[in-house]
Amino acid sequence: MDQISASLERSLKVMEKRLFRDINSDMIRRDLRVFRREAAVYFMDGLASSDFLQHYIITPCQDQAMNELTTDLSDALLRTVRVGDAKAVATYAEAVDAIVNGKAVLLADGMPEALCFDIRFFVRRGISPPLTESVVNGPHQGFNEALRDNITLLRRILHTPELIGEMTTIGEASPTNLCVMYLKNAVDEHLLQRIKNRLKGIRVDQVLSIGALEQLVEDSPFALLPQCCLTERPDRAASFLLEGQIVIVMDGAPQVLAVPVSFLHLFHTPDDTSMRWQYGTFLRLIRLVGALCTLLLPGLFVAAVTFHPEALPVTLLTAILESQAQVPLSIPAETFLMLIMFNLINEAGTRVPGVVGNSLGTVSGLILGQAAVEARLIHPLLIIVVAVASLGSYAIPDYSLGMAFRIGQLVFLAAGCVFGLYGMVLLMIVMTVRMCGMTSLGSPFAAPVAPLRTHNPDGLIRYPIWRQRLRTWLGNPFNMDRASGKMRGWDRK
Amino acid sequence: MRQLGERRAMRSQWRLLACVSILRTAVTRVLPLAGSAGWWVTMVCLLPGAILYSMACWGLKRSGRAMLSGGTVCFFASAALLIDGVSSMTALITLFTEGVGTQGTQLTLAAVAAGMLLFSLRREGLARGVYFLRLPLLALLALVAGGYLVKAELDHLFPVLGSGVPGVWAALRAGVGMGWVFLLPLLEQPVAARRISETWPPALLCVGALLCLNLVIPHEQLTLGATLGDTIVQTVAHLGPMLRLVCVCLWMGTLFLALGSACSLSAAYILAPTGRSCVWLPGVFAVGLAATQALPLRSLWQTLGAVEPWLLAALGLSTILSFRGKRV
Repeated sequence: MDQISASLERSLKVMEKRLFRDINSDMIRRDLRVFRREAAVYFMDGLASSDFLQHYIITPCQDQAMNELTTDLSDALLRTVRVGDAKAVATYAEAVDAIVNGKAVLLADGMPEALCFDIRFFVRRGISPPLTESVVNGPHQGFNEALRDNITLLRRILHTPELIGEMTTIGEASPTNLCVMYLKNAVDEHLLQRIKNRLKGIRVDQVLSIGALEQLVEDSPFALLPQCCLTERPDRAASFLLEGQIVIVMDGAPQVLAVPVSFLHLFHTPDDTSMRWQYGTFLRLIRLVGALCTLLLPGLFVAAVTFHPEALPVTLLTAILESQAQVPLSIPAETFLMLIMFNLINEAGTRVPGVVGNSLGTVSGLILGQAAVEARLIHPLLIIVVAVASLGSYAIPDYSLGMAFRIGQLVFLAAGCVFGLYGMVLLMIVMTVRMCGMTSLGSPFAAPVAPLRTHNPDGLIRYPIWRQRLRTWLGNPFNMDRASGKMRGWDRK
Repeated sequence: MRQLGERRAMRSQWRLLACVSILRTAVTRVLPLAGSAGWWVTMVCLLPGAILYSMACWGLKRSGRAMLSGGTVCFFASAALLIDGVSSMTALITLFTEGVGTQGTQLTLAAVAAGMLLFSLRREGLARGVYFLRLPLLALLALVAGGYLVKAELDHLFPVLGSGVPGVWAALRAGVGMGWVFLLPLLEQPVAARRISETWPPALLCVGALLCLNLVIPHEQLTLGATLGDTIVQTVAHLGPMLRLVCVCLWMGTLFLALGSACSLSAAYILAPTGRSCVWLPGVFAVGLAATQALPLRSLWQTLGAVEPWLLAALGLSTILSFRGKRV
C-alpha cells in the first residue's frame, strides 16, 4: 500500500524503512507537536535550509502546539506554515521523492497525506563567464549547474509569459529534473511533441549529463556530426528560443541542449549577431575556411606530393623532395605521426590543470616540433600544414563539431594516401550526401540550403539585423514573421 | 515551400543525371566519330528526345493526367537508368584504372565504388546532396571551361562536317538515343506546368561544354580511346596540370553522383506501379552495377554501344503505349 496512512506511527515506520534512516546519517527527522497532535518533519541535511526549516516550519507549528483544531488539519497546517511553495501529496513515493529533491515533508497524526515545503538551499556555483564560448561583444555570463538558476537566467532575457518551461524527470532509478523550454507562439507543435515523446520514451536508470541526454535523443547515433547544439550561454539559448527551437535545461548541467539545429547553426556564435553584419559575415567565412583547412589540408598535402606532383610549383616540389630525401619516413606516415602527436598534446593540455595546461601546449608544440625537425624525423613544411590545420579546428565554435572535423581529417588523410585527390573528392561527395540525408529531430540537417526552406537570411552570410524578418524554418510555420512592418520605422524604402 | 524545396532537389538530381549521361555519351561516342562536328551533332542527337518530351507533355495535358504512369513505361525507365548506370560505372572505374593510374583491379575498384554508393544511398539524401553541391560543381565547371577557352581557336571548329558525312552519320547513329533522359521528369511528381524549357539547362550546358572541347582540341586529335575512361582523359589532356586535376575530379564526382541517382531513381520507378518503396533495392542495384565490371571490358563496352542508342526507342514506345486507352 503506497497511500499515506492517517496513523502517524504507521507512516513513520514506512518512511524510516524507505529512507534507510538507520544508516543514512544525513536524512533528518524532527518530531514536533501541532494542534495537540504528534507530527514529524523529514528533510535531507545539506539540501534543505535548516534556517528556513526552523523559522518558517518548526516555530510556527510549535506556536500552534496547544491550540485546538477548528478546521481540516491539512488546511490548518498550510495556513500555519510560512512557506510559499507548499503541496500536499498522497503517496509515500511522492513524499520520498520530495525529500531527496531537497524539500521538507511534514506528516501529522490523523492526516492521510504529507505536506511538502520547498525550502531547498544548497551549495551552488555562482554565475561566471562561459568557459568554452567566449565572445568579444556581448554578455559574459554563463549557465551554472543549478536548474533554477539557469531557468531564471533565460527568463531574465525573455520577459514574456509565452516562454513556457515544462518540468519533467528522466531516469528510472534516480530521476534527474529537466525543463523543456520553448516560446509558445514560435515553436512548431510537431517538433515539440516529438521531443516530448522521445524524452518520455527514454528508459535508462540515470542520465548523468546533458551530453548523455543528447546521445539518447539524437536522430543518427552513428553519424560523426552532432545533431544538437550544446551552449553554456543564456543569450545564445534565448536566441534559439526566439527562432522557434526547443531548449532543454537539465539539473546539474552547466549547458543547455538546443534542438533541432542545422549544420549552419553549429558555425554560428553570439558574436555574429552582436557585431555589425559585415564583420559577422567575415568571421563566419574565416571559420568556414578554418574548418575546411582542418578537414582537408593534411590530406591535400599528402595527395599533392604523393600522387599529383605535377600540380605543385616546381620550386616548391624541389624543396619538398630535397628535404624529404633526408627524412626516413614517408610523407603519409609523417603526416599521421604529426596529427596523432597534435591530438596527444591537445588531450594532455585539456586534462592537466589550467596554468600548466597552457604551458604544456606551448612547450610541447615548440620543443617537440623543433626537435623533430632537427632530428630529421619530419618535414619542416609538414609542421606548417599541421599547425594551420590545427588552428582551423580551434576556429570551429562548436566543440563537438570540432571533434568531428578532427576525426574526419584522419579519414580524408587516409583517402588522400590511398587514392590521391580523386579519393578525397569522392569521399567529400559521400560525406556531403550523408550530411544532407541527416536530420535533427526530424528536420533536415542541411536545410535551408538542401532542401531549400523559407528562412531568415542568417546562414553563412549574415544579413543586416533589419533584413532578418523571419524566424528559422524550424519554428512554427504559421508564425514566421519576427516583426510587423518596417524594422527601421524611419526608413522610406 | 517545404514541398518546393524537395521538388527542386529532385529536379537538380535529374538535371545532373541528364548532364552526365549526355556529356559522357557525347564525349565517348559522338566526339571521336564526328570530330569538329561533335557539338552540333550532339545538338541534333538531342532533338528526338526533346520532341518526344514535348509530345508526351502535350499528351498528358490533353488526357488530363499529371504524370506518366503504367508498368511498362516505369520498367523501361528503370532499365534505361540501369544501362546508363553500367556505362557510368565503367567510365568511373576505367577513369580510375587507366586514366588516373590508381593501383587495383577493375573489380576491386568497383567494389570500393559500390561500398561508397551503399554508404550514401538514401534517396532524399542523394537528391539533397546534389542540390547542395550544384553550385560548387557549376563553379568548377566554369573554372574548367575558362581553362579551355583560354586556348580556344575558331579554326578548330572546321571542317564543319568533321570527319565527313560517313563520320557524322555514324556519330548520329551512336548518339541519337541520348535524349531518353529527357523523358524521366514525366515520371516524377507532377509539376503544374511542364514546358519544353525544362530540357534546356542540361542540353545547353552539355552543348556548351562540347563546343569548348571542339574549340580547343584539333579535329585530328579526337580519337576513340581504348576505354571510356581513356577517351575522357584524352579530352582533358589539353588543360594545364592543375585544371586537368580539377577536370578529372569533376568527372569522377559527377559520375559517382549520377550512378547513385541512377540506382535510387531506378528503384523508385520499378516500384512505382506497386505504390511501395524499398530501402535496400537501390543498394542491390549498386552492387549489381559493380558486378558488371567483372565482365570483360571490351565486350561490355561493345554491348553498351549496341544497346544505348535503343534506349530512347524503348522508352518512347512505352510512353506512347501508356497513352493508349487512358483518358481521364
